[in-house]
Order: sequence, then C-alpha cells, then structure tokens
Amino acid sequence: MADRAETILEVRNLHTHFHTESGVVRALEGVDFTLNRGQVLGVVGESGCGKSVTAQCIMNMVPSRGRIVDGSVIYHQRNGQGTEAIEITALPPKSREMRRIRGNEIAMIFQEPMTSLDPLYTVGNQLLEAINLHQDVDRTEARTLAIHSLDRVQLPEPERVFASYPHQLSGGQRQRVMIAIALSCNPTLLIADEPTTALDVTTQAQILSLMRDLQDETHMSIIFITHDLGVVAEMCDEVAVMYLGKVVEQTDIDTTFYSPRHPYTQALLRSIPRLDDDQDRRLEVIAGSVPDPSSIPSGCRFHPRCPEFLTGVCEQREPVLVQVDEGHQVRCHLYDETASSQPGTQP
Amino acid sequence: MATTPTSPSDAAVDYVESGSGQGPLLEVRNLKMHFPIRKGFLKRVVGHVKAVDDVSFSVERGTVFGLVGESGCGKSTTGRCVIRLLKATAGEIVYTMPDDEPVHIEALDPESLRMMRRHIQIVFQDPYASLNPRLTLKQIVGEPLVINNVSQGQDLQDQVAELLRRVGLSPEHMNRYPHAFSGGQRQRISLARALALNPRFIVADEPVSALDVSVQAQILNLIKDLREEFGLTYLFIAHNMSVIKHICDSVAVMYVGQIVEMTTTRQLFRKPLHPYTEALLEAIPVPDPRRDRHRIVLEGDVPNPADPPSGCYFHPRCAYAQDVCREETPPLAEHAPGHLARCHFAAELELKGMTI
Repeated sequence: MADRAETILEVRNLHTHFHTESGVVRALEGVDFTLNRGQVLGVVGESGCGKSVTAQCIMNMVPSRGRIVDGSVIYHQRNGQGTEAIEITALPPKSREMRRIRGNEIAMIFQEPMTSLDPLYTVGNQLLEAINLHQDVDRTEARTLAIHSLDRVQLPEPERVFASYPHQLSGGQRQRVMIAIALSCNPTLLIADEPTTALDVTTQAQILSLMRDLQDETHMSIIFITHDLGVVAEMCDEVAVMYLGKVVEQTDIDTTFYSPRHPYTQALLRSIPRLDDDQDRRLEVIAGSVPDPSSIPSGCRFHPRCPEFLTGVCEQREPVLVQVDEGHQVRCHLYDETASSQPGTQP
Repeated sequence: MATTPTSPSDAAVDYVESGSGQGPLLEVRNLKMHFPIRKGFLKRVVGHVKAVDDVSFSVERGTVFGLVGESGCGKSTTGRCVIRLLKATAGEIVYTMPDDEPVHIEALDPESLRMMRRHIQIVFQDPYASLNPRLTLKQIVGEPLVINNVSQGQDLQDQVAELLRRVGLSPEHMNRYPHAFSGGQRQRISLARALALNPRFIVADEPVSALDVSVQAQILNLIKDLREEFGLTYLFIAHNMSVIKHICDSVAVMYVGQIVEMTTTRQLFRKPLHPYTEALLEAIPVPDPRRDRHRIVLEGDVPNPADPPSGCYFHPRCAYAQDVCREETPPLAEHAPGHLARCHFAAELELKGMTI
C-alpha cells in the first residue's frame, strides 16, 4: 500500500476494429484509463460496450478478425529497483516476450469456467501446464505448487480436486480452479472478465470474498470487468464506465456512486432495482436500448438516449474526455467548457 | 370446461368475471415432480431427482407471487408444472375460472388443456431462444390468435398491431424477423405473444435475467403496467432478490425442491425466519460502496437434488445447525400469521433482515 500512486497499466486512446463480412465493427473507439499498483479497477458497461475486447487488447489476444488500429496499452513492469514501461500493443501477439508477460505478469479469468477448462484433462494437468510453462521447477515441486495454489483458493481436499475432471466440480469450484490457475504464477495484474456472472448469488458472494482476501494478501492489481453495479461497489477502488466502445467516465468508487457526472452513469444508477427502494417506486428507465455496433449514432454515442441532450451539439460533435476534478474524467459536452462556450453551437 | 367461450368472436374479449372474485386464482397443493434416473443397458430406474418435492402455495387474484432460489432449486420446474409443460408426478394444481369454477389443471385431457392455455400463458427467460427466427412478428404474436380461431385477415393484423402497441413496440415492425430486435425488444415480443389471448394468469420465468441493466427496468415497469391494465396475476420466477422485492407481493423461497419460507415480500425482507433466506439476503451485492464489504458468506454448494442431505436439507451449510437438524426434517410451519418457515428453530433465531 506504500506506493499508492504508482501506475501499473495505462490504456491510451485505444481503437480496435473488427473486419467482418458485413463491414467494419468499431468495437473500441477511444478507451482510456489508468490503473494504479495494488488497486482494483472496475470496468462497467452493458453488453456490446467493448469491455471484454478491452481485456483482450490488454492481453494482446485480439481475435484474428480484429485489429488494434490506434492507441496503446503500456504495462509498467517492476524489475529490481525501478519500473520498465512495456508497450504491449507494440509486441507481436505470439512473441516470446508477450508469452512471458501473459501468465507471469498479467493473468486472466473468464466468465464461464466450464468453457475455459478443458473437459478432457484433470484439473491437475491444466494447473501443471501453466506452472511448467512459466516457472523453472521440477515435477515434484510443480505438483507441490499446484496443490498449494488449490489450497490458497480455499478448495476443500486439494488433493482430490487435483485429480478431478472439471465436470466433477460445481460451478463455484470450477471458478476457484480458474483463479488458482491464474494465480499459480503470481501475476501482478489480474484481469477478471465477469468472473461471477454465471454463478448463483451465494456462490458469487463466496468468490468475491475469496478475491478480496487474495487481493489483501498479495496486493495484486485487478481489472474487474462486470455489468453488475452491486459487484462493483463491493470490489473496486476505481471505476471506468464504458458505453459503445468508449470510456465515458472514470473516477473513484465513492464518486461513481454518490456524485457521478456523466448522464449515462447517472441513468444507469437510477435504473437498477435496489433493495432499499420503496416498493411502489417505478424504476427510472433509460429510453431505447444499446444501438447495434454496426450503426453507431453520430456525435456523442449516447445522445439518442440522453436526458440532457443539447440539440446542435451532442449529435454533431464527439465529446472528448475532460478532467472535471482531480482523478475524475468525463466524456460529455456538459462539462467541456470549450464546447459550450463556442458561439453558435446552441440554437 | 363447458363455460369456455368457443365462438371465434368472444374468445379474445374480456372474460366476464361472473364469479365472486374471491379466493386465490391458483392453488398448488403438494406438487411433486420427480425425474427418474436411469442407468445401465436396461435403463433401470436407480433413483429419482426430486426436482420439486411437496410444494404448496396459492396465488391471490391480481397479485404477483414470487418464487426465488438458486439454480437447481426447482423454481422453473414448478412454473412449468403449473402450466403443464411438464406433467407433475403428484399433487394438485387448481385454477379458478372466471365463474368461480375450480379446474384441476393436472387432470385435464389434451383438448381441455388447450382451452385452458388461453387463461394461462408463460414468458421465458431467454428471448433469443424462445422466438422462432423464421417467423415474422406478425406470425409470432398472431399465432395464438390463429390457432384458436380468434381472428384472421385484416382483423388479425389489427389485433397484432394493438398488442405490439401495448407492449411499446411499433406496429410498423410487424413484418420483421426477431433477429432485427434487441434483447429487451424481444422480451416485449414474448409479452405481446403471451397477452394475445387475453390471459388472466402469466407465469414469468426469469423474464429479465438475460437483459442488460438499463433494459431490465423497462421490462419490469412494463410487467407492472400490464398487471394494472389487464388485471393480470403473475407467478414470477427469479433468482435476483432485488427484482423480487421490486415486483412481488408475496414470495416463496425454494431450496432443493422444497419451499423453506413463504410470506409477504415485506415480511420476508424485514424479518426472515429461515437461515437460508438470511444468507440469500446477505449475499446480494449492494450498489453502495459505503456499506461494509466484509460479511458472513455461506459456505459450500447447493446439494445434489438426487442425493439430498439427511434431516433439514440446509443443515450442512447452516450456521445455526444443531444435532436435531441432521436427523429430523423440519415441517413447513406457520410461525407468525401468514409467515411459514421450514426450520426447527424459526421461533428462536434472531435473523438479520433488512430495514425497509
């Protein structure tokens, strides 16, 4: 906790496009955020906003039809005394260096543990694969490490789990195995892509509590991708809100929930059913639905659904990310002084 | 069933509530749904999965009754038995007709069942899987009207247009296919289809859990509005306690095929009597960063319904379990007026509810 403001990951102006048969899908069109060492950053947004593609870009694992067309991802690696900045987006995805970073430095867990574990191999096999690839250890050591990492994620009888096949485990246990594999090489940054979405509430609570414990213990940095604002409130220190391929707001957790600035963040918070609601309250609604990524609105992408839409401004010009407070960036014309003070922009 | 309107013209008009309008609209008594487990060459039955095991509840007219629980607790199976998509192993499902005549859904012959389905409709969880991609909206929403000889030609077109308008879709889109619509819009189409025959009762099986957060609110509001507009009664199945709280008047909590607690929504959240309900409430991630993040987490997993634990099914995970819980199955007993719980210590435990 000593090095509070040391940056570990910077994502700058990231643009990723997918070339499909029906044209170019602009999945990311300006993703910016910074993550400090030892912090948990929540990346929130609805389906299609590009949160998972962002994770793939950080891992340099964009599917073959996709291409990073602009922007960069910079990872600050610790070595000895100082840190070294590595531009991940400049590395070839299959290079030795990139393979070293994946696993050793940055690890990832996915939403659906059943599809990310191989049903033909035992849990032990899959754990050993990760350990043998990234660490220089002999067979007995590797096995000890594997059992230890299963124990660390609080799986009962780690020896038995080691010898089990994925189908013999419950959903929560499988997700624990995924976490064990991800953490087996002690990464400094963990990307968790909707790790609890497929789980039941009580199991979700277990996994969240486990991840909190592990974070307390190792001080690793986490990027927590989710659509659930409840999970964000429980887990994160910082939040980046995404809408249609852009980060529209980034700030600390308290500000996100208590004084959000972007109309989308505000609307999102008002629309979730809360436990402390008056039962007869009608939920406030965001009009319309998320547009298809192949037909993106002009100007600010949120303008057709925005309650604070300014005619003549929002549909014409794209807003830029502006700093409204220390550590608080918003992409909205309402806070962009240069936009609203310009003569002739408002009728 | 003789009272069901059969002529095409009056089938879709509002039913005349000629009865007293008193009492529950639907009563489920001792419902059991056991699926056989077969093994070996001869496919002999070696056991049963007791997906629903002795479930009883009643749904009052014009209210929303919630069934909540984790995956595998039998909530969807219960819903499917109620509209007889599954034929229950045992038990009674009694539906009260508009003229107060009780009908046993579990005993209906196929012809009467078809008539019955005008009264009871279902909305499924996944709007991507429940709409036929090869049919246009007009065909999807109009199908129940055509099958039941309610209308055809221009009349059908007008009715479909009206239904689409009522669920907030534009009638001009009638000739499009489902792939042109987003998840929220598809769920509106499902609702329009369910409403086509003017039902009185709708089983909504996780209708919002596949939707985006900003769209969930729209659909929940629509479900509430339709209830007022058409005087509908719902059986609302969900796993999300916040959604349940928002929409239901009373709730039953299910665990491994059994109801473990049942009461009004308000009472359940304020003063839960079963430790499982307490744990469920405690497990919900609350969208408030100022709330204490560290709390009691329920250990273990939901047991396999083919081989449930002895005694109280919840005892291996229960923080308050004692010897008696391992041996004796607790009955679902009334501990306060209208508040039932299946726990030996419901009267003694001081469980944590929510201040609402």
